Amino acid sequence: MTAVQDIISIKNLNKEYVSSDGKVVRALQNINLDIHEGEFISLIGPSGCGKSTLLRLIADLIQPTNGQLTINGHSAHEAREKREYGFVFQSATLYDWRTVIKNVQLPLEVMRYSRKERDKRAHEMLKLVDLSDFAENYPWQLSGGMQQRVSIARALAFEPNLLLMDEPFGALDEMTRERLNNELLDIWGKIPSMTVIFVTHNISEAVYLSSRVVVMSPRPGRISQIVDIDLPRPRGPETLDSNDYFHYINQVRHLLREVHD
Amino acid sequence: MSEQALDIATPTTTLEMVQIEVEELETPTPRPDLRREAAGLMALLFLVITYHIQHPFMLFRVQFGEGFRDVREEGLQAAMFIALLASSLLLIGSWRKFWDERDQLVGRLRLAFVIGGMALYMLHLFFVIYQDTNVFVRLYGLDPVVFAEELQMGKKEAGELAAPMKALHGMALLGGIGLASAIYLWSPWESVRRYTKFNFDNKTSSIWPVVAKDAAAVAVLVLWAITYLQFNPLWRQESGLADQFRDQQSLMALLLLLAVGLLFIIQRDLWSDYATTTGRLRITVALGLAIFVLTVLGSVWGDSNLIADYYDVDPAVYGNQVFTAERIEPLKAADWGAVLAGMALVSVIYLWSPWERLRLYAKLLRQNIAAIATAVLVLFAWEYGVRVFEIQQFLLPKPTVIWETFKEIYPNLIAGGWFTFQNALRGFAVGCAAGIFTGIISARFLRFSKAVLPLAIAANAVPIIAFAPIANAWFGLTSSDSKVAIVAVLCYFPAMISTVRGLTSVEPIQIELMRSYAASQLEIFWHVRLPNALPFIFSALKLATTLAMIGAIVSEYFGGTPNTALGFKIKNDAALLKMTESWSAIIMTSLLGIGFYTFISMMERTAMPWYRSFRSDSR
Repeated sequence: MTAVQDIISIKNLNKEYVSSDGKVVRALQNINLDIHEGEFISLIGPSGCGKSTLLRLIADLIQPTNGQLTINGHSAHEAREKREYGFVFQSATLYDWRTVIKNVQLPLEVMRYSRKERDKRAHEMLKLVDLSDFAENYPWQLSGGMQQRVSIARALAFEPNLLLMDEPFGALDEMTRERLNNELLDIWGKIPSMTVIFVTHNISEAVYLSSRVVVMSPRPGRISQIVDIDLPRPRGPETLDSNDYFHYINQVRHLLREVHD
Repeated sequence: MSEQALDIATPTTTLEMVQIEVEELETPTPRPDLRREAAGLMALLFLVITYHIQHPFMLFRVQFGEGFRDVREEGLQAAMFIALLASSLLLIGSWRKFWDERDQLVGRLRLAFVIGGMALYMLHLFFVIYQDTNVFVRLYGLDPVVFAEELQMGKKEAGELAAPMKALHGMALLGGIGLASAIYLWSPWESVRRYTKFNFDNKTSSIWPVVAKDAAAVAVLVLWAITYLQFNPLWRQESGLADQFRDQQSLMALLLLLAVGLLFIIQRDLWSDYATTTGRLRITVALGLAIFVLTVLGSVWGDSNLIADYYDVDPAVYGNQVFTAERIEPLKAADWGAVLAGMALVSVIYLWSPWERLRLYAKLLRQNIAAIATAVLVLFAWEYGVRVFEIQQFLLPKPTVIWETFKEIYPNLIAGGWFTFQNALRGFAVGCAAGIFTGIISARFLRFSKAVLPLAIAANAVPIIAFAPIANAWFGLTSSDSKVAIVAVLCYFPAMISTVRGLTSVEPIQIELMRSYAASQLEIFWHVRLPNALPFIFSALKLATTLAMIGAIVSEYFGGTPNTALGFKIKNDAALLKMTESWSAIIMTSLLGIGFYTFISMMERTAMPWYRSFRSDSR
């Protein structure tokens, strides 16, 4: 045991699909990864490298073919049953028939929180993502960026200490993405024990946000290298101008280029 | 995803973001929310109909309501009551602003007044219809069974007395309107606020305007009572409050005018408020009182009574024409029902307040001008085409002739329509409920779905109406069950198929999200699948209303119904070459079908305000 506690430990994990024409596809091969508590970790790689698959395995939305995956010491299934993580998808996935506040309250309803507690937490979360004024609006009245912020508020509403994000800002324009990156870092900074696993295909985003970037390679999906990002925190506009930042971006880019060839 | 394109303008603040969005978001033209209009019109219609139902002495042929007064059709009367109740509730519910005020004392009292006016009338109606007791009849110590007979008269006499009787009750209705609008103009609830909040140490504001207003209002109410009793010929026979002032008719009328004038003048804000909707609303409602005062003044000095003039009876004698000693008390009992109806009418108009949305009406008119023009043109061409080409009446009657027949026979059509509509409604309820239920089952259990769904889709293509003669054999020719069964089967398949489709066409990611919360299947069903299926289910229900009407009408073609039943009537009258009657029955069928469809559409909008085609660009 190291001094920093591992929240997720993955050993020799494999995932195979049987495709529609009957061929066996190796989506992930021999994954080994330990993630420490409070870490911000990014999974990056070209499409088909299995980064989303790995995230879904951790979330127990799909099951591994073999290998070992423990979250806080128990299996992924138990972790899901115990509601230990919040999940943010690429699309905001808000329910059309619920107002913004009701969308944020949905997990709390499922988890049988009292009405008072639901109201309190949902309002807190909307304040956190700066959308208090839109509580009673329906999702379609919000822009894409605002919708994604609602979905982050929803994922955080029940205070999980693990946040899984599957290309959450991939569909947004560059400026909105930058703003949401900063907001995400803010939120993460406010909750010290929170671990974030962040899937992206955007190199600068991964470097800017993460404490470690996991570079993955495709066919079969595997981890090719893990880059420690040793940039000072809190990070902000000055980080974007620093030489170290460019250095890390170049490093990750070279790794990805190798992976592609 | 079209929303993604919105962020290109890179807004820097939340507010800017919203502005950009409002400008750029391309929404399909939303269907305007006409629930309040529909509810207002329906409430008025059913108020008129029920007014005639509750009126114990409307034994004459009257414009509306006649078809609904048939004692044999108790279900129909109850249906009219429920329709009034439902449309009133919808009307009250559709006014957000109104409900927002309920936290304040003023708002609560106003709410109580408006709803109270309707509630009193409804209560009265409830007793008439369900308990066979007219409260006012009881009040005068009359026997509810006998009292109707006390006014029984020969057909000739009834014909002569119709106009004076109507004039009499018209006066009562006007009295009720005058009373309600006087109370509204007074708005005592606002005085309450002034009194409770008044600070006696504060020298700058005076309490006297409020006191003066209240005094004037109380004077108006007292004078209302006196003049109402004086100028309603019914009460002339009576000694009592009004009798004390018998010799001072002119004085009383003058006082009433003064008091009402004072009430108007004291409320300066009434006129300065004219620019606001509330202000206009109050002035419009106050018109009711103005008309009452005009009537009173007219009968004192102008020697003409508005109501009597309208019914073309002699104002001096119309009361006496009706009265015999034993009729007076029953008439009074009937009179109070009319007063209540008048108050309810003011409440309905207040709640509806169509003048608030003139702009919406104008917009609707502009948008639909082409359709309206086409409809008018078609009718015009029909009317004159038949004349010019001398088409035989049994081939195609003129619209005007059909309309004449419709006006003449509509009481029969209402009775028949009620019979047919009940079949349609029962079949619709049974078929749709069964369809939605089995739809839910087959969406849940794949094996069941595999066994049933292909058959259901195949059965949906079968012309089920063809089974109508056979259903007659199964359920008994003279029983309504055979018709209900056909309708139910017709409605079943679309309801079931749409439910399955709606429940299973959920985006997988939406289910995964619920799974990430470790939600149970039941919770996924309740929070995700069912709301997702609602648009599908409602479009099936709307389709089913049409199918239900078709099924109910066509299955009656094969007989086994009362002669009035719409389907039977259409077929039979056509066979007898009574084409205008057939056409009239078809008009009634269409009205029922449109009403049914509209009702389900309103339910749809109420159940899912978030749905795409209801979205308006206002937040």
